[in-house]
Amino acid sequence: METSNTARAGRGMTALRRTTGIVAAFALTSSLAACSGGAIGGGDGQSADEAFTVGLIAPLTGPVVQEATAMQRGFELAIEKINQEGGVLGKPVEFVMVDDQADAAKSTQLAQRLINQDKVDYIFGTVPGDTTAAVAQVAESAKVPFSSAILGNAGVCGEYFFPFGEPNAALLNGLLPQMIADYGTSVALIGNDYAFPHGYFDDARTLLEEAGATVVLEEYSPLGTADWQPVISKINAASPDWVLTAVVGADATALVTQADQAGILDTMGFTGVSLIADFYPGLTERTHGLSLVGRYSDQLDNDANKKFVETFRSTYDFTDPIPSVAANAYEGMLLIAAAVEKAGSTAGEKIIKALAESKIEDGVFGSGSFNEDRFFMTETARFEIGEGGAYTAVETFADDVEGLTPRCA
Amino acid sequence: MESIVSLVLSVFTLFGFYALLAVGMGLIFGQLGVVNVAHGELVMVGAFVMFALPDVPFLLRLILAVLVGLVLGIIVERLVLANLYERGFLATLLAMWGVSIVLREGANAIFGSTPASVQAPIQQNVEILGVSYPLYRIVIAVTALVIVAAVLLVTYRTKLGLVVRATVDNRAMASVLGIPPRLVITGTFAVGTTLAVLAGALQSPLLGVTPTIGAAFLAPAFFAVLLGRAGSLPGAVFGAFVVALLSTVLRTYLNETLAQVALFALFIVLVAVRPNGIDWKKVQWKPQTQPVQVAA
Repeated sequence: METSNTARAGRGMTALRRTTGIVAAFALTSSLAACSGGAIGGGDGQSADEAFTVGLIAPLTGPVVQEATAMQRGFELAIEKINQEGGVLGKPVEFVMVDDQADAAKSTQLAQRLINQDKVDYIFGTVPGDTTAAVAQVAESAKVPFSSAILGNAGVCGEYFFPFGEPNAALLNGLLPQMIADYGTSVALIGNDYAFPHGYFDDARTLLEEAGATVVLEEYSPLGTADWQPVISKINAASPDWVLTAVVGADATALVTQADQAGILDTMGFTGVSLIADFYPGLTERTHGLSLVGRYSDQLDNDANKKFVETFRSTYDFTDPIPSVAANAYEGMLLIAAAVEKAGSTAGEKIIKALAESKIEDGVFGSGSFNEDRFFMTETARFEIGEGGAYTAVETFADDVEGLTPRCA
Repeated sequence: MESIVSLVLSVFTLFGFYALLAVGMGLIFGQLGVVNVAHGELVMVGAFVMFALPDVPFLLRLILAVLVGLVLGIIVERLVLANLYERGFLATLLAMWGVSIVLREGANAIFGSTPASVQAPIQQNVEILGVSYPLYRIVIAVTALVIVAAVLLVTYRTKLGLVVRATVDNRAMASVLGIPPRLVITGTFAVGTTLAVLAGALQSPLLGVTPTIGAAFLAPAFFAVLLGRAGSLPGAVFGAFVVALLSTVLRTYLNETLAQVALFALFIVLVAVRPNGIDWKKVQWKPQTQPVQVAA
């Protein structure tokens, strides 16, 4: 299942893809079966005569469709902007899109195919931590640069790996002291049982203990949990001052809904990843007045963001809060294009050198660049959730990942 | 004391939901021999019916969900299953798998993948023996159990139920007696489908509604049916109680991941030890010998 696109082709493709989703479910299976692994060789990298080609891995079927769709949209808007402004090295950027279904085995296969068969110069995307690690390994071996865009520490380091997502520390550093001051030192950690929540809570626990707080409950539920009553009973029994969450997707909606019905949102503090803008359509007004710390909101008041938001909403007829992964993919792809232009070549080793030295100025979330540990550093803000899903910045924090892992330097 | 009360309430509310699911699946599996792997997606359909019409009063939406379930059941039975019964259980299983994909992708095409929510019609909590508990959960559990009781009553205590059971038992004989088997089979499947859709509609205010939400409900419903005696609707209800009890107790006293592992391991053991369902007789480890019939 592959789509070869220029920027114009990307527009409006989503609706078509959705309507053909039924056929795609079967087609994907057969196309994956037809995929050949082959030796890892990578693109020729010296294709100054050929267009800069990016392989986009977007798990548009499977458990992370929502995040993947947002990422794909941000990515496509960036490609469109780049090509409107003349492309890269004088040619329009092209991309090849594949769907790994958030399955690490398929991610590996598809990354190999993108490199060997499609001869891409760069790989972008995928969402879960395990698929990111799988693609990073393939890309590293083939010396093809790779970037992800989803929030949280990637958990892997590599010379060719440049993650654009918010590091855990960026989500926690401003948040935890505020919550301790507002609610107290007794904390419950409630997450889904996969790589990101474990890493996020490991970092949170470190910071909480440094701040003199105590974790009184730490629970991880499998993805797809619909009944949160036993967990809510445990929260009530532990009686924390506040709850830090890393429950995602439909589970986040179910948890917040059931916690609200049980009175938890009224009786204790409640914050974390479960409240991010991605999930607002399900969370609705029950989260109004709550706050969290992050990098991006469509309410950020700057020219680049206003233009991005306007284009995003009009292109995709999108009225909900715009997820941060879309902004990360958009700014990430723009920075990659600038780095290739700066490198003057599509060769992997030249791109990574240029990318490490490149910086976003006046982007949708202000400025940003990679530090020596390969965290993409930006200013963050505490966003308060308001009417209509307006995530309004009420306090800003300087970029900071002191004391947290992994350190890739 | 409060933790016990909270536990009992959690078991009760989950039992109501699972019982409704299990009776629907039990009707289709036990009476028609169809392994309905689309049962979870039918729950999802019910939840989306409730989400799609936010301005329609809640009770009216429930009625609409029932109608949608009936129509969907009739369409699927007539167009998909009607010609497959004779090809055996694998053919109907694969057909229902296809139906599940169509329903899931159809919902994705119409509603997208963003989790949605449904406003509960009752927001209050009720105080029960010192435990504050969401009233809506109790109301839907009671509603579900009343519906389950009604289905059992109709099946085992009315002429209609007798007709259904007679048709399932011997279609040829039922035909001779003037019972239209096709109508009974379609009706039975439609009722099973409707119960799943209704379960999803009732449960929707507690869920993050997405096209994939049904996957979470298939395994509990299957195990509930398997734990009951084959073909027995009361057995499926009893199985639902066992599933709700074990699930809640394990999730309350163990961490979530360990609880899931222990839960499904226990189910597998139970099904292996009691392949014909749980009853109150002791397990017979030795084969029973039949008395030799000697001709006079």
